[in-house]
Amino acid sequence: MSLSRKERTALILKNQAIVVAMFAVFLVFALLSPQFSTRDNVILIFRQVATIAVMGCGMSFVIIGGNFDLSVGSLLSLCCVMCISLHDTLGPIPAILITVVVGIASGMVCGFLVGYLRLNSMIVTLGMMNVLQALTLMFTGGSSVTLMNQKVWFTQIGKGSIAGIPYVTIIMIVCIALYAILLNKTVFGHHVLAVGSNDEACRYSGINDKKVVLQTFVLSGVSTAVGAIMLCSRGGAAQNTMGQGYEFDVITGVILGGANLNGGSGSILKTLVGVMIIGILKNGFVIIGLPYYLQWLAQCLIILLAVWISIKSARKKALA
Amino acid sequence: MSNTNEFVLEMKNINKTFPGVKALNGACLDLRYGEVLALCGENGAGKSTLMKCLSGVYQPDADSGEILYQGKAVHYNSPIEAKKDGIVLIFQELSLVMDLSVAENIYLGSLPMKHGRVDWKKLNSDTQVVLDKLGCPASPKDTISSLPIAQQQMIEIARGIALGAKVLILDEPTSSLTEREKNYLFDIIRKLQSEGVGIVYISHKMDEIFEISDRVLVFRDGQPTGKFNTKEIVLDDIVQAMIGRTLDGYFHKCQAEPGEEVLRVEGLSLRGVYKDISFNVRRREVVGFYGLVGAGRSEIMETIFGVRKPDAGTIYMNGQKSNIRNSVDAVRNKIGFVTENRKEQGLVLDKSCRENIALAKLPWLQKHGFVDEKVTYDIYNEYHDKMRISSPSSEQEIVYLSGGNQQKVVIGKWLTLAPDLLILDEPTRGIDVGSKSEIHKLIAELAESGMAVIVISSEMPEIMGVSNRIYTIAQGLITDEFAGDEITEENLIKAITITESAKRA
Repeated sequence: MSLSRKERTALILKNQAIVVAMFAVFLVFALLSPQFSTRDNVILIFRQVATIAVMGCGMSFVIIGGNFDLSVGSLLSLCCVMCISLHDTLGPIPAILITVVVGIASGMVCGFLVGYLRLNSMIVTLGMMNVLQALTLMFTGGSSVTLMNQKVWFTQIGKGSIAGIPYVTIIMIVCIALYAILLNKTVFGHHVLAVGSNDEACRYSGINDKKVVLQTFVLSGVSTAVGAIMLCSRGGAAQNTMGQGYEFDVITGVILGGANLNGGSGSILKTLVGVMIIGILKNGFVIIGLPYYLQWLAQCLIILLAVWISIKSARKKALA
Repeated sequence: MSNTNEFVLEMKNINKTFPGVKALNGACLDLRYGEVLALCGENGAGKSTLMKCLSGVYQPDADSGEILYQGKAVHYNSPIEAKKDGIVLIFQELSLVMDLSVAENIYLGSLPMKHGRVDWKKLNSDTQVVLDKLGCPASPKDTISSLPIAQQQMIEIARGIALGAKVLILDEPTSSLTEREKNYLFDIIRKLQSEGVGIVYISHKMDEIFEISDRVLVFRDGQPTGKFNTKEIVLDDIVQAMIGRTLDGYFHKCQAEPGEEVLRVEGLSLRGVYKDISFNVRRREVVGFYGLVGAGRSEIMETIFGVRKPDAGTIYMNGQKSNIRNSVDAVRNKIGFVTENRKEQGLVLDKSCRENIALAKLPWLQKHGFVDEKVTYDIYNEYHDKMRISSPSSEQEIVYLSGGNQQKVVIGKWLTLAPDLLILDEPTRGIDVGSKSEIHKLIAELAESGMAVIVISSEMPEIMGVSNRIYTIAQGLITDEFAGDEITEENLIKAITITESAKRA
């Protein structure tokens, strides 16, 4: 069926609605405050979203695979405090490596429970959230941790930039490219998309659906570890509740990006756009001087709107 | 009945347009009191759409003629309205609440109340009356999920009866019933018929249509193309009206000489499911498994495919002891499995035809670690032509295809792997006559080309039509084996029922 130009424009607009929304949100804040659209502030927004965006990449895989990972906020806290305290005791490279291993391990535990034992992912990761919080407190004993020397190269990961572009933004872009290729071009990515739609049909088609689910959680764990390294290096310090609320930001970003809540479809690039909207809101609310709790309210309304739109279009499809 | 010749229902010149498709184009239907009218047509011919227009699921186009129910023009906005008026539509998928009791389901939405609370006594006794009327053995207090599918269907019908149905529409009611359950359903249909209920019976199964119906109405492309009195016609009349051509030879059998053994199963047992199963399948041979639903047929095949683990027994694939632990191993061992539940286990419904057909082969389509998407298009095009899959494009979501085309995609998915052994579990369930015959032909061709093929079916004509050799299964046991001239209706029925009665004795 060939479409008229008008229909085609409408279709593109519909498919790219979230990109349009991002620019609209940006425009609103730019009109409200002259400081908002300055070069420095835009770079700041990019710096601020890096962690959420990288975590969002991992979360996209989990959600597209048909599950949820609520444990990422707590894992972020644990990874941050571990990375900072191990930096001074073992050195930067071992600290980074161990942080990544912790992320993988946490993902494997969740992935095993959800994939192989077929436990509900909400409950598993909700439990894991508490376990990780407890581990964080055990590790720090309740106090925050700070690097002895704030001038070490490690802090440059979060603070530094090259030609005006923050390192974290470069890391973010590389991660997004890698994850997008992983999702769209590899057998694993195709399997995640298929398992998220119908795991049973995959099992009957010679796909190890349990392993696929486990791998999505491992990806989420690794992404969170990378996000933690970027986050804690920026401040050179970490504390127990550092990651609190991040799971909400990350999941909101992925859902805004149009990933299907029941699994089966989604896009890494759109996740980035979704995360950017969250970042713009967070930053914009501060700049125009609104209290931060209003931002929570706005975020909640936005996620409800996104979910409502996605369910409405799914229903329309079911009736067709 | 005194008013047998009066129409309980008349639909005149009904049109229904969906975006881009004219689903109904001047469709007409009339139904007398106490009559069974069979509605035939290939998938997409408009049968279900017409029934949905009647019951208020869809609204007919504005330029449509009228619908007369008991002589009065009616128009329903929802199936609930239609049901209250006595027009009851029963779909293939039942709409019962699985965790509630039989009584609660039958009177759902109109539970008898006393002092603001449910009057359980009245509810259960009312229900018992309805159940007795249908001769249904279930108790009002039974939970729906504890009943066999056939009885669940009875409950669905009972619900219509309790509402005083005058018109009962059954859409493919026997697709998940065994032969015995089917007869039971037919008894009920006849009983309702004698009470003056008009029944519209939608089915692909010709033998059933000849057994139960008084008249046949055939649809093609949204229009009635044939209207017959069942007694005066033969199968070919219906088929011709349905597809506009005659089918040459309804069944195709593999004619080749069987080759070496591909699969050998010895003493396979799974507690409570099947016991001491031994059989073999050779190249260039179609082996049928015939038995009632629930006899353990599918479970045996799932074990061979690695989805279930047996308690005992050995499976040999190409002479080697197989160590298949999961479906990944099965695929590596060149076993393909077309499952019974196409939508749940066979297809990823919201993905395209192309993605579905390439699903099992993906690991072999890698180039430098990436999936070579171009090859998936080639695969789709190859099987699209070879299997005559009718789909507007490779990117069409599979959920929108007809049952027959969906099934071709599932079979195509396995053919991409060139399996040594292909297992087909109820390969033509819910599929129109045209595709059915194509799939039968394909099965024979695959065997002739050197594949070993296993077919499971509850349909006697099908299993007799396609198989070179048949194992009969009853209650988890292989009861007999037939080949060549021994394959007769009588032998098969005996073999699946004798053990049952012997066991009971």
